[in-house]
Amino acid sequence: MSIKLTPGLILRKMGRRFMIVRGAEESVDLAEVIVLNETAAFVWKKASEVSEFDENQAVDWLLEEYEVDRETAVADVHETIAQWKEYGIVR
Amino acid sequence: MMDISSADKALLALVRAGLWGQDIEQVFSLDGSEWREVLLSAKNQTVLGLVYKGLEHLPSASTEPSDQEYLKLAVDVEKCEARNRKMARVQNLLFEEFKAAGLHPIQLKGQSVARLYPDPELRQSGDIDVYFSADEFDKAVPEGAQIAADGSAEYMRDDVIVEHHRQLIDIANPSRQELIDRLIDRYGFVDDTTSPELTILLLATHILKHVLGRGVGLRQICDYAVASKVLAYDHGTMVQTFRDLGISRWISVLDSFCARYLGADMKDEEPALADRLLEMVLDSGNFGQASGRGEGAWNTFLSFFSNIGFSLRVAPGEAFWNVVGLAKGRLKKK
Repeated sequence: MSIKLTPGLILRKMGRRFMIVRGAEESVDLAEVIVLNETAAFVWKKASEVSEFDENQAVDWLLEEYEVDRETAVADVHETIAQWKEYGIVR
Repeated sequence: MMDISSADKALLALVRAGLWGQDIEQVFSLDGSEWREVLLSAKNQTVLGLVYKGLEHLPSASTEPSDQEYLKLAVDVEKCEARNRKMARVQNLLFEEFKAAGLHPIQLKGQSVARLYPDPELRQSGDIDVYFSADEFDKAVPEGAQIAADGSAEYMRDDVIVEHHRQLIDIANPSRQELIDRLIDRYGFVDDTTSPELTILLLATHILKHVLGRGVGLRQICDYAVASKVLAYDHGTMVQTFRDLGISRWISVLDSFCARYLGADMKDEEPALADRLLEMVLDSGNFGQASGRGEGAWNTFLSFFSNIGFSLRVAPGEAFWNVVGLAKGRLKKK
């Protein structure tokens, strides 16, 4: 199933952390900040270079960049994308 | 270099890194409250965007702001960018309307300076400043605008403050006004904004006006440092222009400040006065906001006298004419 990043969201490197802020334009009080770990930030950056992607593609990105077995990568990607859907930062 | 707190040293290092994209060599061992102080100062000095960029260049051995502070900073940065996008939209709309009415608006500071920065949307802007020549000024002011003592007009447009100015260069000495008119004719405008020479003059004299008045913030001096580096102009000719306007020592102090504290490639010929300027900057924050003095003619008057020694040394003529201007303002109010 193809996945698209919600337009207008910017991944920010805050010191050694990665964050995405949603909703600050409407109201600072309602702004939400999503904190990403380094591998999730890596997947987000790769995903922002394409118009859409799927979980298999994200697994391949991880396998190319990190020393990790496919099974772990599949589980990590699945969990991360599920969280992103819950937060509404991908469609 | 002046002896300042670790938090202030970190603030200046982050601003330098944010301005020029260079890694920070010094390792900072600040605790949570000191990092809070750095970010609060950055907010008061309206350099949060630069500090955000600078944090990327902290050495790995340094401590960092807490997660809570980072969350707040992320929201503030996002808000700053959104605000700048909105201001750009409002300004474009306004300028289209002015031009449709046959007027020739010139943008001052704000967006025109922001685009000189590597990340224009990270420069915090307060309002939209527009200059109109004397024959167009009255036609451009909308109904209901408030007119200030200096003749400028202020109003809100889509939740953004817009100011119309009659004066381009903030020099109070009346005997220099003819020269200023000649400089405006000589250097002129490029599209809707000031030429590089007028931009440098405008920024330098604007900072001086605030140093002589309510106090100045780091962001305004960063504007000058960035413009001096990015804009192409003949420095030799400008040295004579500064002399003719009676502000050459002030320019030397400003350049020294930029060299010593902002890492700019400029001459450091007035170290002692640059140190004094740093004290004033750290004390007063953004146009007096951080000092708690507040706005108003009386507070400006008090602020002026607390800085009188400095003012008389860097720009005696301007110091005198600012006193006259402030006194006139006070008398008018009574």
